[in-house]
Amino acid sequence: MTSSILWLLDRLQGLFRMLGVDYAMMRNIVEVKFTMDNRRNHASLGKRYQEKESSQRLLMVYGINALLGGLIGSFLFIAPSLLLALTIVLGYVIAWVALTLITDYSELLLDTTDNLILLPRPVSDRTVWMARLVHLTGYITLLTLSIILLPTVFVGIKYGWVIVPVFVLLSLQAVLIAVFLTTLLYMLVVRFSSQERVKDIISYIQIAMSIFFTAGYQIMPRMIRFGEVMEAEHSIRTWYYAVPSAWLAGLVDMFYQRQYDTPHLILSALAILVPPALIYVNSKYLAPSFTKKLAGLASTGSEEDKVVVEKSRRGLLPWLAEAVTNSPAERATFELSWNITGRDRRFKMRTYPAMGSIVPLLFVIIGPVLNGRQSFDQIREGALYLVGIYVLQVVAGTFYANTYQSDDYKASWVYDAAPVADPSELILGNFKAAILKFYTPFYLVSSVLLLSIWGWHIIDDLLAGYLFALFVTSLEAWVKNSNWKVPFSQEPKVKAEAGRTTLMLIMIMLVLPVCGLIHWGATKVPGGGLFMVLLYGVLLWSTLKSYRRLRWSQFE
Amino acid sequence: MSTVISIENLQNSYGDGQLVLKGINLEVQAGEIIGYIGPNGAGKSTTIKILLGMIPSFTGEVRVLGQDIRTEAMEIKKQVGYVPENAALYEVLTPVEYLTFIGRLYSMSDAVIQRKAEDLLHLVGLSNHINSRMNTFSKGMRQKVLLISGLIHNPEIIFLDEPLSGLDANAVILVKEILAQLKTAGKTIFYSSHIMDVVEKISDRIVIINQGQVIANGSFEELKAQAHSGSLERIFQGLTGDDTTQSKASEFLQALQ
Repeated sequence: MTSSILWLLDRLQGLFRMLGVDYAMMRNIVEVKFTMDNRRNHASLGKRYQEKESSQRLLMVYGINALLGGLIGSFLFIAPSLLLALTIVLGYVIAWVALTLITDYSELLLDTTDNLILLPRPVSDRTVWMARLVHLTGYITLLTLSIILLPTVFVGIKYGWVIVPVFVLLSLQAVLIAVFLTTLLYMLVVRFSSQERVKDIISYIQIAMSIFFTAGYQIMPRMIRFGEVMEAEHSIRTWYYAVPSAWLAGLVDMFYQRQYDTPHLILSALAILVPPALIYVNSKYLAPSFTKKLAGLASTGSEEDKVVVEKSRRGLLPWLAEAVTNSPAERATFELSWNITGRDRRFKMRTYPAMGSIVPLLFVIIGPVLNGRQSFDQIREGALYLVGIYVLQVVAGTFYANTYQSDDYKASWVYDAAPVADPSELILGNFKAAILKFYTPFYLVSSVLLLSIWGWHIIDDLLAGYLFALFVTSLEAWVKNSNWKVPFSQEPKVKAEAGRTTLMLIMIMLVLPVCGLIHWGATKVPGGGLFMVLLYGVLLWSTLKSYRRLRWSQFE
Repeated sequence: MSTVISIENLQNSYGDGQLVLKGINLEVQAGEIIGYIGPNGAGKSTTIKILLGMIPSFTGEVRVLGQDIRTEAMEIKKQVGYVPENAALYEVLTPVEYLTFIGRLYSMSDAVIQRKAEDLLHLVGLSNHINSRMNTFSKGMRQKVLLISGLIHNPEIIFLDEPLSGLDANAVILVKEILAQLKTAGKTIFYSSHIMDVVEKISDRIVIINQGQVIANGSFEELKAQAHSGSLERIFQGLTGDDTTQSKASEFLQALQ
């Protein structure tokens, strides 16, 4: 694909030369940038693909975008009017381009390596700037085209091919809005934060994006039922004037319906005038100060980035560590695990998206109410909350499994060097930290949600569910770690051997529903919930006790 | 010998107005190896970046190879090479891809780049890795590629910022020998490092800066005579005001008890 882009650039080299750009240099830089894009990890590629050593990642990114675009494009057939359908589709284009710019480009934008490599070389600033512009424009254009590919076809089929060129042109207007929104966001973030904070904030956006993805697959098919709700939407409501994608949709709709009334004219005027105005503001005011601020970040660097951990901010940790651990080594691992999981940006990136699983869960439970098929009262009569309780265990498992991986995995030599006689202290310290730091608050929030629907009588079931999650998570460690490992000692990209993972998955697939069914049966008997609490309590106690039998010889 | 670098009253400040360089004056002759040393934050890297045309905002006069860095930065960049302190590379590329990219930025032909890249990578012991992506490389391997990328266009002046970082003993000896032979070939080397004994051995002249000012400038023998000290380490400690290491070490041991 890089070669086709370069082929196109070669056709335009006269133009670049006219602009005072050293074309050969620019071509060289653009070629390398696209080569690196092909090998870089992209947020929209699942973890599975990111781990592959592929040279065609861009194609995969565009392919996935085309599929998602098709999914959103299906609104063209569902929504009652072209106006509403395009408002949704173009809104998606704006949101998606902005998100991609934030996530995939932030690393490059904030990376000062580029400056260290290019600035000492004999290449003019104009050439470097043009190369960056061409690269970014090429990337966004291809991204946009891939997103709108299927919606364009759908527009043609449903509303006729005449308005297709207008739709494509307006999609590019949508991109201008997205670029503006991204710059605005960056400006705000960079204005108030240091480089390290910026990276943190960006990773939170990335996490939000992953959650959006995880949840999106679940929500989309259910949203389609909302089509009934949308049937009334034919006219231009007041909120349309506040939504950029509605301006663009209004313009297409005006052409399609040949309706030149005031609302359509206002929307069209906004569609034509606002994006160029935003880009003007962007290039005149935002971009220069942004570049200056970035240059400032690069040159001052370390002082501003210093992250001080004040003693007072450690809060309850020392107290908590003292309370739940039984030996200095266990306490040390507990505190280490607590601190790393809270501070390591990459760890959060790998782990927090798992929280997205609570969103589909919500839909499973309250979806029927939203669809109007059932009332809350009808739901309360059932035991759907048990599904929630048991599915949540997967989150605990993911989090705990990730505590065995770290980008600083080499630092785990300390365990070999330190005189720790009983390795179970390390495993237990880490296990307790993972459960208390992450799973407990997560489970509490989920419990509040379930309690608010079902009421206090499920409290014993919730407690049993909590103990169950702890029990299965501790059990997983046994199944997975046939060669035991110490916490944070594995390189993240190394995949667990397939056999062991499958074994673990089979175990979970069997254990979760079977235990859920037993629990469901127990709820039919008086005191059944308490019995489950006792049962899981004993099981958890015995697994944790079995840790004490671990010996160093069982470790890698 | 002709003057290849001339710096007059060079001043530069950070964004917050704090002065990093407070009036540096320095001349470097063609074919010299200059050891440029100083404590952390003294302004070594900033000086080098100004000489390379990477930082345009400074006051004072800076001429490299007879040309003004403010107006002729592009011409100067063609004739100088730079090996930065941290291994700034595009790690997803292979060494050959990276060196091809760099070579093209100096308008070298692909055939020449290819030949030089393969020969040089072979000479530093990376011939088995020329087609591997550099994100799998050790620090020393990356440093070797970085070194080649700074030299591939055969520059007149070479700026080296901690070039030996991460290299094994044999590679260090090789780099030192390369530097000696570059000098014989008439190249000028501007060498910044914390490793005093290497600076002491390879430099024709040593420039020590502290808090943005040159506090010593002369050959090792001259500095030794001035400071009445036996090693560059001692001279450096005396001049930069940190001659309390012995007492600090004792306190350290006491704290261990």
